[in-house]
Amino acid sequence: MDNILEGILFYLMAAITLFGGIFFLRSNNIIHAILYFLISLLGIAGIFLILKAPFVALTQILVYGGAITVLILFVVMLTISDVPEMIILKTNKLVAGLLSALLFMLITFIVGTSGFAQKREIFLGRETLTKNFGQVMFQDYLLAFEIAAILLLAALVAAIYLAIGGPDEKAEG
Amino acid sequence: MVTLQSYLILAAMLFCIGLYGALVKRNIILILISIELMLNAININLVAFSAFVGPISIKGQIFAVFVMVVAACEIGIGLALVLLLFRQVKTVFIDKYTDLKG
Repeated sequence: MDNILEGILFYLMAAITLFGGIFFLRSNNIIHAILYFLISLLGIAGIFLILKAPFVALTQILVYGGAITVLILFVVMLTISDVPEMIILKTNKLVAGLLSALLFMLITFIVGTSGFAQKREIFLGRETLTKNFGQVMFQDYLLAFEIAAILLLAALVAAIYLAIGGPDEKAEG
Repeated sequence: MVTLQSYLILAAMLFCIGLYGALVKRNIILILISIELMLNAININLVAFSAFVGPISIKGQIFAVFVMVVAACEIGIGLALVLLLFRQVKTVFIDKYTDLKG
């Protein structure tokens, strides 16, 4: 029973994710594309929940669904130009499609022929998961955590510096 | 029947969608979003391995969170660069960014 439920949920979430991805590719309006991207991200959060990773799922919704999408929408609003939204520009769809399809077939071949991919048990229990996560993060990976914090701070400073105008504007002002 | 294979193939599909988008799209913001889709596909792989492989392994989830941190830094700086470029060239279409041509 549990297996059937897991299967139904997995295929539902996979369908949502791929729906978002494919319509992201197909849409001509940039705001629609961003909304389809958001649908895809929420589907991925559902996949994380099925894999019993609630903390990662929550982080996914907060960071991607909240922060990054809003950031992208703000930049879209700041970069509206007089040029019509979708001019047909030269794109090499054939080469890109062939490359993507080739990569997909290669990955599918490797996954299909390897033995480890047949496992079907999900090991982790549900209750202590987030607690475990915090313990491992702050004991074994404390240094990496601090480095990530410094990286975020550096990125914040750099983004503000660049958005103000970079070296040019600073020299003039 | 959901095996580890199912998750890996889903991640592969999403990665290829992102790759196709990054190659085909001509709006620089949409290219950044495509790269984010590829990073998300990698995250599915990491979390799936973490859930299926070891009895007490949680390392994949921690790795996924670090990938998210780096992706957030990347999109922040990328969008700041887009704003900077837009002020100079007045467009977000990468075909117009021809300043480096000799």
